[in-house]
Amino acid sequence: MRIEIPNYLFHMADVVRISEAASLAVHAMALIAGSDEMMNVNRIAEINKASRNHLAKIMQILVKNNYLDSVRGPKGGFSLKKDPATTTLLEIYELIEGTLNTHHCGIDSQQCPFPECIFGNLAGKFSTEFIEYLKNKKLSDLTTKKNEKNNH
Amino acid sequence: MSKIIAFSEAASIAVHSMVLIASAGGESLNVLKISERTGASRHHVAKILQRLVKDGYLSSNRGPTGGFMLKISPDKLTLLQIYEAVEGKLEDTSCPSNNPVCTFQKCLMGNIVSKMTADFKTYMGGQTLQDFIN
Repeated sequence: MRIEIPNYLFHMADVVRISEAASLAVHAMALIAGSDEMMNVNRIAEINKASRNHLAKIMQILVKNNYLDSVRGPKGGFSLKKDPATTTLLEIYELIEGTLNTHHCGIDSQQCPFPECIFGNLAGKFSTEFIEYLKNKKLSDLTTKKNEKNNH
Repeated sequence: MSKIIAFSEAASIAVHSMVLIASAGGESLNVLKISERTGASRHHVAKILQRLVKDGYLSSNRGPTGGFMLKISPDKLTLLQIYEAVEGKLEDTSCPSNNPVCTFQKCLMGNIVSKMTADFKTYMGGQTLQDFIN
């Protein structure tokens, strides 16, 4: 059942829909990569203003897939298991969302009957751009840890 | 396969319908014809077109030869206006997750979302219905 929301209540018309779960995974990983101290679910949830339960599920996926080690207990938390210099944002994103689709026209329809794309093929272009960005961004690029070597 | 870019179905129906109506010239198109050409449900198409009539972009005639016609000259109507009529004003989104406060110093998504929204807005604002009439 769809609930009709009047236009004036829309805060924004989002063109790009980034999965919240995937975004959370990326932000959590960046936090852990950039932190000297161990952070647990509560702390990470607090910083990201996310629901603890939601985050816990995501952390579970990251641990299960060997991206993080988890230490239990009051002084416990998560630590990176893979080298942040080789971990791309794309792999984290796709871990949560599955393989990202580049060739689509931005609408849920089978065949387009129009001779040219009214949206100017922007869906495909943006998807490609976004994936390229994620592919080229390493976790280490997002942190400013002093004991890491900066490789440019 | 996961999608990143999702144009709302409503916006897509609006934009594509308007192009069809604009391309029909003198002929008025009805919901059935438009729904067949776009592949969208009649119910959905009807609702969107009703909205566009209400906003003054289309006029509608009832009856067997009835349908919808443009009320504004196609070279004076941009895709952005149509998009926003259905979706509301396209704001310059900075945070893709719509978070009110960001605790990170730099956006992890590299402001790519702002850029895309801006690019989309520029494109849509620069296209009129006339551009799609052969």
